Amino acid sequence: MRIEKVKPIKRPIDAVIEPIPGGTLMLTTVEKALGWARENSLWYMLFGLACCAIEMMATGAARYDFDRFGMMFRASPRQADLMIVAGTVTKKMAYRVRRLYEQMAEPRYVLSMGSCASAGGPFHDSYSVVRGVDLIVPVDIYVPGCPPRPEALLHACLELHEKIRAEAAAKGRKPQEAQS
Amino acid sequence: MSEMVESAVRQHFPDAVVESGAADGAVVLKIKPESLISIGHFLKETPELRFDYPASITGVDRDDRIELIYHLTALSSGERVTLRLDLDRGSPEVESVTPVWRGADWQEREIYDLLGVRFKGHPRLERILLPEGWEGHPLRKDYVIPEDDRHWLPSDWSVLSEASVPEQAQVCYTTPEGTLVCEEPGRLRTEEIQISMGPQHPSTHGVLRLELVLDGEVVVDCRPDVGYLHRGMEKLAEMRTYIQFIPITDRFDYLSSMMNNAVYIGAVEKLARTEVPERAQYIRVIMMELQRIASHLVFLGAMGLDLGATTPFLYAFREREDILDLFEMTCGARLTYNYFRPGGVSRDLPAGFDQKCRAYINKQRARLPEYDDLLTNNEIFIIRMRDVGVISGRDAIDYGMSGPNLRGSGVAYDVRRSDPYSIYERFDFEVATRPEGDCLARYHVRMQEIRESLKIVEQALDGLPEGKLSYKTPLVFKVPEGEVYHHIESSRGDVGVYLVSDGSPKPYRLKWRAPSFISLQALPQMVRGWKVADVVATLGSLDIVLGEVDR
Repeated sequence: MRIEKVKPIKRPIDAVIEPIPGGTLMLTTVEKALGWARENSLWYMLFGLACCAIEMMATGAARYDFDRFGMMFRASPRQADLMIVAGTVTKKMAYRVRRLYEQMAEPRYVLSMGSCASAGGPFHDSYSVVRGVDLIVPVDIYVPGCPPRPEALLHACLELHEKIRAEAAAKGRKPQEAQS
Repeated sequence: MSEMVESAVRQHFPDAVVESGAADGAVVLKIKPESLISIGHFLKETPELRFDYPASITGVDRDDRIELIYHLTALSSGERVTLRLDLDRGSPEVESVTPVWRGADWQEREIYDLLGVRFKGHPRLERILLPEGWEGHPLRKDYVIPEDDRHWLPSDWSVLSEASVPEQAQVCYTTPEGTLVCEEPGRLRTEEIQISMGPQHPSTHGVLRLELVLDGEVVVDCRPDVGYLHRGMEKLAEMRTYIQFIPITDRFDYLSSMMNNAVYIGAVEKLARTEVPERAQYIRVIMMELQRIASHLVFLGAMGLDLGATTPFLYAFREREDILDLFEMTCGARLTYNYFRPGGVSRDLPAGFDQKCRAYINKQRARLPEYDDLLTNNEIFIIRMRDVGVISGRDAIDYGMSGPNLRGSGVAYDVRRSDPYSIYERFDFEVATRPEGDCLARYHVRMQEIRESLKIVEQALDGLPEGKLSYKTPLVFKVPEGEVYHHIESSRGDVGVYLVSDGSPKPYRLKWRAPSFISLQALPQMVRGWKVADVVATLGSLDIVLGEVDR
């Protein structure tokens, strides 16, 4: 009888650890392990501003299933790692957006969902609309679309995972504090 | 009847009526501003007239004067009357009609905010959509839109930084009388406190802020603060051509974009006297009713979430995805469709639509009992909803509420029946009503409407004729000079458009009568005396969409 060697399944953790042959020890760096943990449990703040929020809800619901990437919504900024700015930011809302950002614990990330949050979108020439949330908070990922499809939002989040992993690998801290 | 209204007013107020006429099936009376209040009382309180429903109040900047237009409806007879009056543009001022119709409250505040008309005797004349301290009134024709990207944004955000030491922070709050009290840190208050619910709150359905005055957990007072999503769409309408504005209408009430398309296009067609082919009318009805179901499904899911039930949300969105698939195969978009055109729709139904739509109807019918098992017959749900947030039919009319919120209070007012538009008179459906006026009644009305809408879609699919889809629209679309008021029944109620054209390719003025905005006025009355958790239930049962509230 010939036993076939089973190929090990590639898990996300294999990107950050190095198994020692024959041993029970694994080697990694603190930064990599932290980055791995961050990347796979990115809780986002429930912060629907306008139309895009409905697509964000649809992304969280059964068909698109946000939860499978470890992304859970939290109602409080204190518990959230990621702020998804889903919709038009108005001048009246601008202060609140910044305050909520300040209330989030570091490391914190901002995803600008849709053309309104990115640049004012179809309302760019209105008197009461801020032309892009990046005038208020530093943004990590921009998603185009009006509104973006759930697939686009999912892809943006996977890109953000990639970014967090790259940061951890570079052992660097997020340079956002210098910007803001 | 219409002659009677005019002669009755002329008889009682011989000097007040300047001009009279008729438009869109309504009597139009141009009156002197001084006599507004007395005519208002007369129209509302005379038993044969009973114009009890303040449908819409609009202000238009006419360059040399400011014109106010009051659209009033008598719900018992379906008659409509329009009052118009001119005000001096330099210092426009008129008596407030809030003592006559309570629903005028927010509508007048909006006109004060955007046009600068002062209403004498208004209980709380403050800016409503724009923040306090804003300069100018945007809907005035000479308003200059700020070019600076950083307009209204501070140059330094450090005031909001979390670095301040909490022990030294003073506790400040405003008393119900309006005075600011700052207290020494560490003191425990036991009197009434004021808390701010929102604008970031999971159960305010968007960016609504409620100022709640609480005694323990009991709500003493509630003041909604809206405008956090005010995007200035009515001004944008004046800056875009008639066709360019269609995509913007999608974003008013983003849960019923098809109906927004329909009411705007309906108004444009009325003004331009465009004919619509049969096939396009049927397609429109199919789309609007599917949209109503999709919107009520979001309500179902959100209502469950508000009261702590997660499963109905997943179920409702599962079925909603099927409707979105149908929309997507028709016009390519999931949420903002831009599907209606003057004189038709943008493209024909794709192959296989009929079959897929019928499959969906059967599936939805089979799954409605599942919702009943989960939510409708759920004991906890019933206890949280029954007898909570009650509003009587009389009060609901006075506030100008509409749609399921009004029908939940026993008033069978549905624009599809009372003032049929498109081809609604051909379909057999029931207007769902419940007499109780509480949260559960509003919920039941919406669930019943899903069933009725399925019936309408099925009838429309059966009757769908072959043929031409749209009359050719010219490259440069212009409408003749004039004005029109058009209203339809959207998922949230009586949505109306008042459109003024000066013959140019762009609208001169567009006013959106937003049912959510008007219904939300009644919230304080509905929640006073209830607990904070009931505020969530009541707000959820009103099913507001902030895009439409703030516009």
